[in-house]
Amino acid sequence: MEVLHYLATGFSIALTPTNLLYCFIGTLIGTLVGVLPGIGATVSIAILTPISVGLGPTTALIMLAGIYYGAMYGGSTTAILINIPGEAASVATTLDGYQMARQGRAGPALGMSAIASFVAGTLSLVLLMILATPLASYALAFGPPEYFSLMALGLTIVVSLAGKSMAKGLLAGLLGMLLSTIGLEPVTGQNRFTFNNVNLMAGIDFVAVVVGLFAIPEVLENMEGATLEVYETKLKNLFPTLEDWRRSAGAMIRSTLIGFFIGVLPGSSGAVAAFMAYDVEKKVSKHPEKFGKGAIEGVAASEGANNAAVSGAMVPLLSLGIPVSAPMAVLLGAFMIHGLKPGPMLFEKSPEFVWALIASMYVGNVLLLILNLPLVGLWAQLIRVPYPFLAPGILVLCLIGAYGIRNSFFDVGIAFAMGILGYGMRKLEYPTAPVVLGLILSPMLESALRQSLTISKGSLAIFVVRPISLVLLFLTAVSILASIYSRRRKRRSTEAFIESINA
Amino acid sequence: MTVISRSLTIFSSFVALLGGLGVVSAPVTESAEQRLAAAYPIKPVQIVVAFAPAGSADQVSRLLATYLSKKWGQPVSVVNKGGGGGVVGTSSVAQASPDGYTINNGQINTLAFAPAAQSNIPYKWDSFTYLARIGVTPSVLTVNAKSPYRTAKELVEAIKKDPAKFKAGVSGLAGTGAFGIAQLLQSAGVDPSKVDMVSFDGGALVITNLAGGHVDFVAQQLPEVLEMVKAGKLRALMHAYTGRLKELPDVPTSKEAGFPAYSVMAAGGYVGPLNLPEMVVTKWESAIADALKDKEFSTSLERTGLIPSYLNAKAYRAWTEEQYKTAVQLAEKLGLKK
Amino acid sequence: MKRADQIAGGILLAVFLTVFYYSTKLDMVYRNSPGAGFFPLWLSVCAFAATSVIVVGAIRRPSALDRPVRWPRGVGLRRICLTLVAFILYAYLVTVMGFILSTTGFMLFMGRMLGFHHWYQLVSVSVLTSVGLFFVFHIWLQMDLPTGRVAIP
Repeated sequence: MEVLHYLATGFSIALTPTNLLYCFIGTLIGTLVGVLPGIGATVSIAILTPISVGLGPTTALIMLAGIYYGAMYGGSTTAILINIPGEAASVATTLDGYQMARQGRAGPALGMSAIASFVAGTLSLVLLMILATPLASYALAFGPPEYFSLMALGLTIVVSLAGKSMAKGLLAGLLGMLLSTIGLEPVTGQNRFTFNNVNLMAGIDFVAVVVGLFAIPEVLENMEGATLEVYETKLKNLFPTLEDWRRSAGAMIRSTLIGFFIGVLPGSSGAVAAFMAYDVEKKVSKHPEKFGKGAIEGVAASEGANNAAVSGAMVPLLSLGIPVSAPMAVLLGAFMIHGLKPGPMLFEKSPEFVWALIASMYVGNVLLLILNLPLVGLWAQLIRVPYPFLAPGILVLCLIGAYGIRNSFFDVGIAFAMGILGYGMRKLEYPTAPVVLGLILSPMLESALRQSLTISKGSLAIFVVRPISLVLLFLTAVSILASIYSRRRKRRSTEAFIESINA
Repeated sequence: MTVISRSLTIFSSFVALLGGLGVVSAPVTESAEQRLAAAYPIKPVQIVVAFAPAGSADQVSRLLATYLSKKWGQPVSVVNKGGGGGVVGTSSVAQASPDGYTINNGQINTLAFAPAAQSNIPYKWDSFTYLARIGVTPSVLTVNAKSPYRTAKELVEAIKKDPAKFKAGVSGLAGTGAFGIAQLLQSAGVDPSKVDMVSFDGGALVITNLAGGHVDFVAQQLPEVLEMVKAGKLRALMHAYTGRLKELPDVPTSKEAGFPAYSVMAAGGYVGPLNLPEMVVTKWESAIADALKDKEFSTSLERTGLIPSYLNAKAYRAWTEEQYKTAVQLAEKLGLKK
Repeated sequence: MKRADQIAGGILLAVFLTVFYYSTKLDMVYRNSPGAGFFPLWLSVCAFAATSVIVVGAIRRPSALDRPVRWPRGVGLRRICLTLVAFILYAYLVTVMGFILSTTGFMLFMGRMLGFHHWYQLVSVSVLTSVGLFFVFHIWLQMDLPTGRVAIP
């Protein structure tokens, strides 16, 4: 098995003291960057690239890659503790993670998130090793019609996030989609709903919406009560229980697969992978009603998927030289500055480098686990800060995060407006998660639709004629039907229960 | 408890005192001209990159910023203000104060092509003081390796016979790719609007779709296609640069291939708001020229895919004007003028 | 919640009608594919439909099955209003006084407002947090924090 031989060589390079040190530094920076909302892996990799020129190419790239997946680990921390996802990919983690924190189970949530990230990260690296080359052609086979169908599948998750009122859930999703249309239209450059405001031309930024819609209403709602008791103050154990493990094991495996295969696709993101894994987990669960109220397998699924997506994203980067997302593009730039040209030739011309990188990703995952697990106790203490301090602290973070997008107060204003909207939505029982989902998926859905119709010259047949697209559309239908069915079942069982009481 | 709170109070008063000192000793604001008369730069300089961190514009600027910080002894930093395909950041510099501390990495896309094709851009190509051009990336006419066309002539002939059958991939309908294809087709006597242009979000997706067979040909920048061509997944038919390329010596130039009109290149340079003082312009001009002569800098630069190609302030301005005029013409042809 | 749903629904209906109107002014078709207006148009149609379902559902809902909206009252309402006003003021003050001073002031105000009365701790925590955040974000991560007109960070 040549692969093992290469891997061994890779480890020998990855485990040299210098490389280990920079791997550690990279993952540390990545974790910090991921924790803080607004500043992301993309920016930090971009900022650190020129500084890394002094190091050798292997070392530099080990460090920069470490930042990237470190951020995936870190993003979950604030998502769980204060309902602010540090990264887009951690939005799905807030759905259950934050509820767990309120129930005093922040420790297990953080712990499981670290463990799931580790398991998924490591397993997906194995997949990367074995499948890198054949997967490259799989990624290429995805043209616009396939993307459209994939995004359509993603949007069906709205149905499952809808809560009590399907119409309200759908409306929230549609609202998110409409928000994403604001700005300069990407194909013809026309102004859409911008009222000639330069800031609006850039579109509504995702971070501002998330910060406003998730964090601010939460803080406001928590102030309503006469006494400020937000978190269950007795921390019930710091580590996941056996029960937690049992429930999350399957989630970890499933989310690894889902995250990896979605991460491979150019244009997709960790967020899409995380949501899909979350939804699949909910659908296969025997107790879907627990999701959204502190189901630990939801956390495991979401976190596992976003880490697996990182390994997935490496496939097109290393084997085709194609970056699937903004952080990958920056990594690509870093590769080039160090004289390495990713692409089909990379595996052949510089195998030692590729395998050293992969080996260091294994090492990095281990380092991150070691780094994060002990910190669980420390982070969990954070929520014991008295709420009179925690609340303004959160709001200050919102300001920093929103401002940092474009160094402009306009985004802070958007976050504020979203905050008020989010508060109103909560009061009127509209779910907020679908807004974010719509905001993320809609641009890709629209581009894919238009590109597909250009290719097919207006014919809708293109979506069903192509096999992959057809399969995805079929899955979309299945997903919708499955969600509707489980809602009916829940309603019927509730009705039966009420009847049995009345009888 | 009181001991702790007392020491905390002392500490915080100390910090407050320091802050107060900071306020008092802040320099009284001078006028911009007075500052410049002293020497340039005497405070940190900001390079605004109008795209998200990732592309060559960003990488080049970061390299330059590191170089300039060393050379001038003042921190030069890169600030990303992405959005609207580069329009947001570029217009922010157009409106900045002309003291020389806010400079934009001007890309030809945003400076010339966008204003040519869209009427709602809040600036014009001449709303800036041009400093220097640093380099170019030529566009390369590329097809999938499995495509039956081996030369540019073959491809163009086939398009002439049945233009509606062909799909071109572009990154934005008013970018260098679209303009390049329009230039080519127009000079060959084909109406560019007869070919379907499928627009993708960024060069990487265009290339992926070409490699996957979803579109028939593209005219993207050299750095984007290079690796795939070398690996044999894509075939380069010709490129828009004036001489043979170091990286792809077997690919004919557009002149050699018989289509001298195909000359669109993406170019990166540096511009500032209008009415920048003469001294700032000269400083930047010479700094960029020196940077290109510096071995370490130019090697790193070439690695990002940019072909170093210096133009001083006047020449850069004239060249941009020329590009703008061509762009206006082509925009009409493509029906992009809004 | 019946009335709240109806009112909110009514506002939303108006919003989506406006979106619909503006969408029609954009291109519907661009060569062979949908133009800029196509997507928002259909989105607004679907949104309009969904909102109608909600409004009709609210009108038809028997009051017995209706859950009331838990609007904030008394202390809670006061806190929320003060927070919103304070946040706006804070954002403004940052442009005048810089990050550290404004954040300290904001945290002082909020802490006091939310019922924390131990002055020493209040002041020290506010100052330390502001300075700490400044260090982490501005110095360490090289992010640009908004600066004041007065030349302090």
